[in-house]
Amino acid sequence: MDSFALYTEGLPLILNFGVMAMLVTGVVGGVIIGALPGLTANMAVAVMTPLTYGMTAQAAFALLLGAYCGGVYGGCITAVIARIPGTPSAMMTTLDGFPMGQRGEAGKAIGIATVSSFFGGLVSVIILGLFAPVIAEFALEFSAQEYFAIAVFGLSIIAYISPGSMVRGLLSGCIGMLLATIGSDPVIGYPRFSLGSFNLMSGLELFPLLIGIFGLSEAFSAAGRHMDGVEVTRQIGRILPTWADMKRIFPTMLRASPIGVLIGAIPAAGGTIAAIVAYGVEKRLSSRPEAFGTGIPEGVAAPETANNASTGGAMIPMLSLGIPGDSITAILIGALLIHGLQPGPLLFRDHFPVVSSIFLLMALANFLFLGVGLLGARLVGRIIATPMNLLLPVIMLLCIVGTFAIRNSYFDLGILLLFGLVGVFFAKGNMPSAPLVLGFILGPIVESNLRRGLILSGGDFTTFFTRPLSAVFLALTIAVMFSPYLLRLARGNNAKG
Amino acid sequence: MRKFTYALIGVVGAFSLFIFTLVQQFPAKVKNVAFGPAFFPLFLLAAISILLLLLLENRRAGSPEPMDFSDMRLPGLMMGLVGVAAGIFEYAGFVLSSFVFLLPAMFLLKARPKTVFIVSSLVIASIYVLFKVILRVPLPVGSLWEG
Repeated sequence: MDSFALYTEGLPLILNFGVMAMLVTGVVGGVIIGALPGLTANMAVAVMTPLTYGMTAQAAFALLLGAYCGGVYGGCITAVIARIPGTPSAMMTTLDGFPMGQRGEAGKAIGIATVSSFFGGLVSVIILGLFAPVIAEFALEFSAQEYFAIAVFGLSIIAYISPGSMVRGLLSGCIGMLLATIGSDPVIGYPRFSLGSFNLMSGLELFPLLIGIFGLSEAFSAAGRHMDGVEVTRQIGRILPTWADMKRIFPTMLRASPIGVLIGAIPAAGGTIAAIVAYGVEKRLSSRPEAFGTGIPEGVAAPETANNASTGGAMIPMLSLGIPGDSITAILIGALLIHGLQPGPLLFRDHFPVVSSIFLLMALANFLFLGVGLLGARLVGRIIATPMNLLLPVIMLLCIVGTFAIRNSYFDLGILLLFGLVGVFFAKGNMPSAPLVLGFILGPIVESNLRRGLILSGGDFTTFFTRPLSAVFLALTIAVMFSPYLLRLARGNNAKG
Repeated sequence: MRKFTYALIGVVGAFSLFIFTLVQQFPAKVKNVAFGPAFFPLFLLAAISILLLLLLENRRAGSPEPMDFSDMRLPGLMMGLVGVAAGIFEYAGFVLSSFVFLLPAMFLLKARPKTVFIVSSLVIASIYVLFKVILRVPLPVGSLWEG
């Protein structure tokens, strides 16, 4: 598996009209959905996935990766012209992007956000190409103990960084894993919790759950918030950044890119945290930290570079280990499975051209949103003024039809509605729903590897602590889980001292 | 938030108890394999019980406001409409159930009547063409019309 082949072997698979048309559709659709307040990149990818059912794997991934990259980028447009982050990861962009817009520099802010998003995204694809094959090759040597430890570590991180308390995050993750136990036992095939229902014999389907939580429940919640179009800054001005702007933001982009990739690669950390950290680092390193928040190009470039760099970062554990880097890569795992591809190290060994095509499509998606952003941001600005009262019912209908289309199952519609309600219930009570989805995906990995590890070691639980890599990840998991208590204890001691 | 915590503990607790009763019916070992099908669900139920206890213990730290469902009227109505559309999808078919959903949903969200009819028709036609014609995914005609 050499890195050069990674950028060439998939070329013949993607060089056709159908794949390119899907990529353009995905990027444009992703940018628009990402720019619409209340609708996220998660929703863009979740709603588009059922459309890929009848497509080739390359066309499907062109659409979904386009929507992923476009959706993460699209949030910055609304952040600049309406002070509302289109996606949560554009939250930090509002701090400097909107003040620039108010000064009549909305175009300049969008241009800087677009170029830095492109830079971050492209760097992340290059790093993905360098690291993912190496990790995948290394992972071929992994045994059940390592897989168990990595999956548990991923789950603990998800719970740790989830909004609300860590207990709620962990609870959500455990519920997700418990739901994943419905159906055949992954080790010996014993049927569990099917309650005599034929539909539950093979377990809960992933997509009705995903679309319910990320598509339908977000649309339900948005119905309670946005009734009219968003008020936007009308005067956008020149979008293409000047050479002086480029020289000014280049060091920022160089610093923020590795931050984004690194944070994106931590299971479940994602673009929002990457943007927050990159903004904080840039502010700390700046000679004028007080200028941050008043509308400076570095304040736009840092979060936008980092959140888009997290896209490639999140793909590293997903492709090389089969462990989702964030909610969207969790959906992409489902899409890979639909097309008969199992993410993980064997994907690199058995389907190398497909992996190569995924890398190329991601790189092309970045070039495409650069074009869409620089040439079409004004149009996107007008589209986000579309009344939500027309858009939300259409999205809900797409969720229904899309879910049905996957298996032509009416039972799946019930699951969709159930998880739409669960998503709303969780959101209402500050209970994160992303850990539930990730727990649902990681559950079978955790269970099968835990049980295999125990069976191989004759029931000896210390087997998970005697193998170096497994021990490191489990130690990290324990550190993550107890860190809030240790921090509280340390603060208490400091206060006493 | 405190009321939600109690509601959450109640719902998850009842669900866990139900799962626990089902797990009791699983064999401890199948085909001489230790750590049988009941092992992982029991492991998770133990973890969930500890987390629920922690949640109960932390409840005092929560803000004292009760659960606010005042802004849930529209989302609630939307859920109802999705439920109706999903329920009649098989019998009424794609076209009719889509109209049954879209028209009241857009009216509830205060869209103008003329716009509602035009947009609904265009959307339903577009989805039909996209799924049925382009993607060749079968959409239900409706058992009502099939005789």
